[in-house]
Amino acid sequence: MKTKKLYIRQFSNLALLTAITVTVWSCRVNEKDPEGDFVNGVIVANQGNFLSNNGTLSYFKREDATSQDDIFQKANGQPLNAGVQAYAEAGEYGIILADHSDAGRDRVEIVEKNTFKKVATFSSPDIENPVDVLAVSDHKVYVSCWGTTGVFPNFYINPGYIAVIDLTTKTVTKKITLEKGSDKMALAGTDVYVGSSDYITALSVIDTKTDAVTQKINTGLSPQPIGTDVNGKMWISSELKLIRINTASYTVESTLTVGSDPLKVIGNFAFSPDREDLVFNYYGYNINWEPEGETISLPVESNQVNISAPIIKRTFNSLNIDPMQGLIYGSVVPSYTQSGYMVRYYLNGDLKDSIKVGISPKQAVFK
Amino acid sequence: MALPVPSDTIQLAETVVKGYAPERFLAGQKFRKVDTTTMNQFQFRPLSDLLSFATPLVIKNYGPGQLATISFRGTSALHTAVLWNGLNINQPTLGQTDFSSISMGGFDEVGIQYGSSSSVSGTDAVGGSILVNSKYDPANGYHLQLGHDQASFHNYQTQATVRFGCHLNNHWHISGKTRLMNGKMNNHYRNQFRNGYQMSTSETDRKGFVQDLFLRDSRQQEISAHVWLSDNDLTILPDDLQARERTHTKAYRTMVKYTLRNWESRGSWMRDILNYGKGDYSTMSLATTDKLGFQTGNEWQGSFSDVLHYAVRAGGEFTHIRTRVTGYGREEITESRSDLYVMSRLNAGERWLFSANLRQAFVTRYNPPLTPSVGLEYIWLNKNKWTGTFKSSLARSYRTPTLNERHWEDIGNPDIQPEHGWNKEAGFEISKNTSGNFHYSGKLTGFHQRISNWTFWNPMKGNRVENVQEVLARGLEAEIAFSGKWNRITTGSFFQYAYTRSSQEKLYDAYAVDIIGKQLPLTPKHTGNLNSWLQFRNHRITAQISMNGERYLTSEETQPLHGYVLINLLTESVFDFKNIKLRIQPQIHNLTNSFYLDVRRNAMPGRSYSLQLTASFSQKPA
Repeated sequence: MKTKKLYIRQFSNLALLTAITVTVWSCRVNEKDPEGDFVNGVIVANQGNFLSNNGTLSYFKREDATSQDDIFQKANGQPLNAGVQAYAEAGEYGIILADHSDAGRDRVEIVEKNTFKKVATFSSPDIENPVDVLAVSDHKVYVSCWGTTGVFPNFYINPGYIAVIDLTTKTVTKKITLEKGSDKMALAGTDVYVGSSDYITALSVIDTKTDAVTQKINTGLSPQPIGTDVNGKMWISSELKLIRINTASYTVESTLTVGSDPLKVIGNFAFSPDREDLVFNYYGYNINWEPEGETISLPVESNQVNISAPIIKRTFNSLNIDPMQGLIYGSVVPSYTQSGYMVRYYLNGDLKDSIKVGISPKQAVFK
Repeated sequence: MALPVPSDTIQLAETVVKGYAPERFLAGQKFRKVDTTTMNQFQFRPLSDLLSFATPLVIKNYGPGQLATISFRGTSALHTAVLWNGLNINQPTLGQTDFSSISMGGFDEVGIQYGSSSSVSGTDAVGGSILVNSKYDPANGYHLQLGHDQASFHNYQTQATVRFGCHLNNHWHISGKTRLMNGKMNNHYRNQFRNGYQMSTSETDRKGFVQDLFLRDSRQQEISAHVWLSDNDLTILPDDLQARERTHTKAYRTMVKYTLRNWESRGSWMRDILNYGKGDYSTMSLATTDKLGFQTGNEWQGSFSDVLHYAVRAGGEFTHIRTRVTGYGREEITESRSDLYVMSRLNAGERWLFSANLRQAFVTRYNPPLTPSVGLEYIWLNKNKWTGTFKSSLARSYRTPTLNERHWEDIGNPDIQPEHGWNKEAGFEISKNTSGNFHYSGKLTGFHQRISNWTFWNPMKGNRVENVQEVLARGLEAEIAFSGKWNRITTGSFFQYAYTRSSQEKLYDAYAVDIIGKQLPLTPKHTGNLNSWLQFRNHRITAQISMNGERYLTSEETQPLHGYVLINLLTESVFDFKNIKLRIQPQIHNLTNSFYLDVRRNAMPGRSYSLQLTASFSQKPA
């Protein structure tokens, strides 16, 4: 009898709980939140292993301790079957750069950004060796490509280009021919700055209204754009130099040199959420081939770079900053056949935690 | 221990090639020679195909006609020695062999030596060794053979062979073989996709030339010369003149041997060329390696008593390597290596066999450890047509670092050390032979090998290669064979199964905890194969079944490539017309249209067909 009473009570508690849940759920539905498994959180682009074509995208919510790997496979029932070069979102869509180990089989996959369901695919000859992706607007993205490559030392045998993708019509509307080795892109107003990995000095500027090159700026060898700071200045990296460009006059305003060690390089740039600091890695290898490097935070108003006070005494495979939480995401690649990690730090360099992601993580995208 | 078996069936490990050490001095270890019927069935194929269907070894395929590497007993592609007439033919730059570039027409015999045999065979013989040999044929007269294999997807291969033998005088006999091979895999698939996965688009041209010459005299003297040239030209995406990728490998392998009673000397020269280019091939990445070798050794045989018979063999080997590789950023690299060895075996009565061997290799700056091995075999059962043998061995193994590991610009490591391991194994064999017509046998072998200093290209150290890992490989291998003969019908089955656990065991950095104890990538735990045949007169039908368990692309047992079973169905008919013999072999490959992926996750072909025609003409001397 007692048991039965307890059972009824438990049942009524359960019913109450269900009712509350349904009510809360209804409220959520009424608020018309976007639907999908990947609405808010962090997407990580994992390159995968060379020749294995096993790149993935990982997803986690900011409060999660673990990530879900290969969300493209989960959503579409098939793996990407390529390395992942980069990911970006524009409007309702996510854009994945899928780089296959065989030439002629690279792709750009367009997915619904909250469900990761595939909606369109672009492939050769539109896309060959995609390197970077940039959302120009909700309806237009730029994908920079190297084109077909050769063998070192003649690696860049073709002019690079940007494939302009119209997300409304799901077509490549134009290919903008650029310098060899065209690489990173950054947006400043209606201009897109495009760098190059080849041994050239010209930085290209494209007017997004006409999708045409309007300027060439000589900044230094193999220039790569980083982005705009709080003052609207475009930052460029070239060798060990950081170059600030006036986006109105397309002229170099200042040049800062990072350290003096010719065996070291700079890379992995990200702006703090307020865009008042530029965070980056300065790294190389010592005589025993131990990696030596640090993460430096440079106030954009500085006249010189202080390399003696890094915020993190460590370097990463990639570095991104979450504008919402102000956390630094540094990626770690322990091997090309095992999971990498996203190690999270506060902006002052204090360690927060780390999250295991896919193989060879190279970018965190925040949503 | 020696058992007579029907000539058409698979032979066990008894055949001893004179002057050829591994199977004689490695008591307690497993050795298997591939039977001649299987050799014929794969005559027009690469060695990788034979190993996939006739052994439980793991072949990692990068696509049809493309790179095929091996994993022997859970070890890496660098841990299998490939010996041609006793000479290691692994490319010194890569430390491995692409088994898809080794045409079966290049040699007459294939032997599989399981387990470590570094004490006898030197570097690379860690997981096992593949032995390919030219065979002395005492027959007189001449023999002409023309063969052609026409397969699906416009793939073909043609072979022309001349064998001859005659007495030069009362003492000397000369015999030889010349073979030319030419083939092409066009891989013209009707459908570029299977189950949504794309097939790899590639073409492979294969050419080969083989010349063997044996001069023997009645006073136990032999001079032999061997030449084996091969040319393997792979183009991925051949129709795209901008993006096509070409990997052109050429191998020149030459050898002269002189044997006088128990003394044998060998001189050899090998050149490996590996050129890679893209697009218009105006810039090629080039690698040319020459390897000059000399080996000499003597064997002493004798008896301590009526029941104690010994054989001791001692000798040395010298190798000079010269290499020019674009990626090394240096003009030329030369290196000398030498080895000293002593091998011994002792028969005690009819039941006991012992062996003990010792080798020391010398490589400037990279001295491998002193490498001993001991083994024993004991026949515990020998009555009523039953024979039972117990085998056990303990052997050290090593691998000299490859030239790429040491010299590759920036990421090569001049301080890299040789890998080394200890291999322990034990097994039972039991067999029954009934009136010479029926034969049953079973074999069970367990092995355990820990390999230290395992090299790893470490992304945390700028992808530089380091000796940081340690791998434990262990497993069980089972074999069951049956063959029988009733009047004109012979039949038989041969089943092999291997369970292999191979895992990284060392905590070399904070992240290694994620992979410790997990199965190595692309290494299935379960593999097996079954070969069954039925023969009536000159007609034979054979089913070859290859079973490949699930493998993982990662070191964490994630991203599985699913297991698959492949079945080939082969028929063979031989027609004899006096001096002319015609062999017709229609074959169906992947009979069940099984879907599986190569290691790059491209779809492998479904069901396909081939027809092999071989015509032989023999002229005996009058």
